[in-house]
Amino acid sequence: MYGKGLRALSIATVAAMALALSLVFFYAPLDAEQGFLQKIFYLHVPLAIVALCGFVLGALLAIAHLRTRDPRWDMRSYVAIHMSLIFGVGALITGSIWAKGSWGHWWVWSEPTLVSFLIVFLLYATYQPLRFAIEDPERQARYASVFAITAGAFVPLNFMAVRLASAYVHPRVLGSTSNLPGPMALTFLVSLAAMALLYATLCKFELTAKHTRAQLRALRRRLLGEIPDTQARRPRSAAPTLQPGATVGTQAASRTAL
Amino acid sequence: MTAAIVLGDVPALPLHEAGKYVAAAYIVLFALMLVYLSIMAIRMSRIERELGELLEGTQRAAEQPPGAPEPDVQRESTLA
Amino acid sequence: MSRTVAALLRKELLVELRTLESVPAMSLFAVTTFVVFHFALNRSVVDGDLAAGILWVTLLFAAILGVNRLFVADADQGGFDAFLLAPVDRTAMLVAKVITLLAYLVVLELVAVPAFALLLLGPSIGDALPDLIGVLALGDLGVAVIGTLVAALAVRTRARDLLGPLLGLPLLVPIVIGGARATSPLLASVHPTAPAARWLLTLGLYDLVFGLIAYALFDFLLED
Repeated sequence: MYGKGLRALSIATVAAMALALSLVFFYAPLDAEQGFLQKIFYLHVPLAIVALCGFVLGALLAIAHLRTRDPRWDMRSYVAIHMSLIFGVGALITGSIWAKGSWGHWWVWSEPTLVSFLIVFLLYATYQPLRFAIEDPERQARYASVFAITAGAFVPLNFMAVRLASAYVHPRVLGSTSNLPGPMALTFLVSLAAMALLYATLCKFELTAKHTRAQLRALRRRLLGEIPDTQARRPRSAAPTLQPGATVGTQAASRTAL
Repeated sequence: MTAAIVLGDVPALPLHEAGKYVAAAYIVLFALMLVYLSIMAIRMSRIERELGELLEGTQRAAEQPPGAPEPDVQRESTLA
Repeated sequence: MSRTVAALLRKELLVELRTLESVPAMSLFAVTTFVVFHFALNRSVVDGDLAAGILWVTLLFAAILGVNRLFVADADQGGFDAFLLAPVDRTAMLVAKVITLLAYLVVLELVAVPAFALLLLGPSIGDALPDLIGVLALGDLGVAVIGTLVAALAVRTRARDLLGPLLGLPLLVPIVIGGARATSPLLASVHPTAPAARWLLTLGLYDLVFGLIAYALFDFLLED
């Protein structure tokens, strides 16, 4: 049952988001250097942090998948990475808008967070093509997990490397999260919490939707005894499909039967 | 923060320059969420349609003359 | 395990010596790329940052050619199946392939670096050579590990030639960062100096981490 905590989670998300937005626009003081433009900070940095943690989460879930061979971990890993990619796009776009407002350019190489994000994004953008290029579902899940773990280890290393590379050329442009004054720090933490809750809600939502569709397919097969024609019509997708009630046991049995 | 201004003292938000960018950034987030919502809505309507077809299918099967293969659901309900 | 590695290594190098399908192509590609760079940048001599960048980018793209072909023979001609049937540690294939790719890269550099010094490099390369060899060795190790991992991932998919570079290039960016930054003071025309220790440390750390990750994950790619 994927949808169990979804209502509580979404209510918490709405409350946190509302609180965060109110704090950003009515409580946090104006920055001395950047003025009103600095408000983007409360949107861009939480998006970036949540996306990065999501990628690492995807790697941890992939480790669970390789250890237990339970396809449900692979599904969770896929959703985590997919959602982090969307949040990453949001981080890149908001970062670019911030750069344009501060620097006058839509892209700045001197901001290491933005640059490492671009590299990480380019890497994870290959996740779905990789899945799509492997037809056998068990091998697809396995290879995707190997990729997710490799990429998850890459994320922090990449950040360190890019930060090293820019540190001695330009000072940080778009502001750092260290030594924030009290009200700003509070606003930032609340925004971060709200973004994390949003991520969790959307992931749960996605998992519930996928599970629902899988249950529907199984019901159709059981009632009408046919493979649903929608599956034949729909083009092959890169997303893993969930078999309701699928466990390690049935997978192993079907493999040995071959 | 020597030059920090508590927002309550500022008469009006400086909307001319910075406001556009801040608004754009928040609109991006809003737009992403709306796109996601619409994708989920399309999926939901597809699920609804398929469930409707299933329901029709089982009703048709129930109205068939006895002796025709009945789905398990119907048989179970008469076991009381 | 070392006997398995030695046996596999012997097979790889013998095949390469007989068919000569990877290394000559990689070397030729590197030299041709230097010519292309001359025309693209409209420069006759380069030094410092530009020289380091051209050298590393060229080596990287030539390495990609080798990476693409690394597992192709095994995938197409049943080499995987034969290996899986043998009662040996499967990680031996990883070690053998990494050493093979490393050997290809060394031969590539034996051709490409003198060509670079001849065609494009302004300052003389003689004094910088020992340090340069050290930096190249660290970088090659990283390229070999990541290249092997990525090649194994990509070879049994439908778009193997595309996925290899797509997966590999972002993963190789930190190596380019470390390698190019370490090389550029070596090739400076005014005051050539030794590479900064932090870049060597970055390269070494990256090689170590990804070596361990590849070691841990490679078995999962070979299961069927």
